[in-house]
Amino acid sequence: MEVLIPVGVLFILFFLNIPIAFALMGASLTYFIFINSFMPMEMLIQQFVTAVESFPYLAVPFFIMVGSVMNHSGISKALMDFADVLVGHTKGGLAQVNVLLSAMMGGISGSANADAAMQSKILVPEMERKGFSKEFSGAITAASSAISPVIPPGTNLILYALIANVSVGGMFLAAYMPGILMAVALMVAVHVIAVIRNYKPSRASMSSPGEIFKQFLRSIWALFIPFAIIMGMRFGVFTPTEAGGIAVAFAAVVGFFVYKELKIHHIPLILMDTVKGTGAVMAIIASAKVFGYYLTLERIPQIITEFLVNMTSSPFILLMVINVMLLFIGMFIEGGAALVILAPLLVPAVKMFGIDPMHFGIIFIVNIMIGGLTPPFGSMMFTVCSIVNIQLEKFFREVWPFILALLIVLVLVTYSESVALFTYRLFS
Amino acid sequence: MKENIRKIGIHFELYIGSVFLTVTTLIVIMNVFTRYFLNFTFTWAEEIAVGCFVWTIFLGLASAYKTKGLIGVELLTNMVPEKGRPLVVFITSLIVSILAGTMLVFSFKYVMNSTKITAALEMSYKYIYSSIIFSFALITLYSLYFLAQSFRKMIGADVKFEIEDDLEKKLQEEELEMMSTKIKEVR
Repeated sequence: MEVLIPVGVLFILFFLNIPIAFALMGASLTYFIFINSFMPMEMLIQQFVTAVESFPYLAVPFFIMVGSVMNHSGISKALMDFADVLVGHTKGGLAQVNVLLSAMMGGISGSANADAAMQSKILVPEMERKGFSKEFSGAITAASSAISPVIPPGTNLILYALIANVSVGGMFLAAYMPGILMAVALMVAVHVIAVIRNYKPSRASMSSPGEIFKQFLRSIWALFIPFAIIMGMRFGVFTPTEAGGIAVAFAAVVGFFVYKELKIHHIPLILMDTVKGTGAVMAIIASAKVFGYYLTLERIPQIITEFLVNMTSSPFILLMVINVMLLFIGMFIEGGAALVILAPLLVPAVKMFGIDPMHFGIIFIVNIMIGGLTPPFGSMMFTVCSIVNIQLEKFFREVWPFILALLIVLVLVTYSESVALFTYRLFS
Repeated sequence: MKENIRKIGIHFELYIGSVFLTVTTLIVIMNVFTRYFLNFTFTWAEEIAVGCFVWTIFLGLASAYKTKGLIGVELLTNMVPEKGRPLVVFITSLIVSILAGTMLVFSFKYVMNSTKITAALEMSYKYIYSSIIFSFALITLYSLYFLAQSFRKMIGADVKFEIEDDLEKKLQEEELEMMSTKIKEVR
């Protein structure tokens, strides 16, 4: 049992509000200092640095930077107009715009909390003016922000691909399908609620095809750049790192010369923002590598696999158990952290059951996003509730239909591999 | 003038980090260009890019810790009433200073004993790895600062135990402004 002490330390440090990267370091230090003192301490630092000095990980800062560049390029504005001409005329128009905007922003920002914060400040006041209740507006904002990290490119997708040793390009392509399904599910839920409560559209009539086309042309860069780069990666034209570099260059050109809103004085801000974001993400990766080294030395993934094999022989039941467990953990721990800690433990096990690791990645990523919406500690729930100023229980009364809609998507991608990997297979 | 110096001081890791990040980005883009159009790559390019990347990461980490940009589980903070917050900060800062201090000692030993050199440039890895020492030294320093400030706050002094991050605010404000002018235009 002694070997499980570091896991206990990890959770205690989590609870004490120690940043995840440091909590992982603390757990690993406990192991290497007190439990396995035969190992030279150099090994710990070596694991820590070799994790980050790898060329493929350079994709991480690049995709963070692309998001930041596009944000300053006025692309979010173009996307919002496009969403409005597409669905603004339907019942509950602004709520639909809210969902569609999150999905389209997915190609730019991979952070659910950033998406939730932006829409809470921009769209929620506007929705209230149009007669939506504050609680409903907040609920749909939080729920729809779960889509952004699923739509590629996103850091969670890169992290999973590197942990599970599947292709980053493949993972990106595969993730389009669940992202689109989540958007459709939420839009259906919004429609039903809007009809029952008779919510108003945001524009008087359907926009003309000409207007839609005009807005489409304006947003085409935001929608097209990520997709083109992902296709380039998929077909081996360039590596993920090169793809990231090209994406940065393209986004800058579009920002400077097409939308003309990116200015020279934005560049230092973008760089500084990226440096900080990169430090935060990569520190977790490096510490997770050291922690993973401890797990491997103690054969903990094998013990878990054995345990799961003894428990059931059916992949169907295995996935159900994992899903319930992840939903539960997601209520307490931020999604990205759950990913770096649990994916290395679970991927070997699901492979034993003949489950495609890419398919499992889709399940994992959709699942941890739902956790961010649920009490007691869902992170998007907190973001929205604190910005919009809603009580948690009132929020929950409005958000449950959306959680239900997203759970249906989760069940669908869990039990139908052909649905989960549809876009991946379509382009293979 | 004083304000400007303060600003540079708060974000100095980010300023240096930006330089490293720029070098990394330019090299990778250049590499793609020479590979596809001129059919060759510089052997040193990848080494420099990765070296600068490592520096970017650890400078970013120190800055993210300083300005509370690291992801954590907010469970305890959300449960503790406002009055108890200095105590929470005190405990977390204490733990972080112990952890960062330990990492500082180990990484210092590791780097001093490192004899590895890079493949193409035959440059010592010490130049790359010293970023870790630098980063943990800063984090130790900052955590001790938070420790001292939260302790003073606990015994009743009126001090702030947060280093304000105007960068995040500036970014958000700018974005908000852009979006809300657009909304006014549309409606």
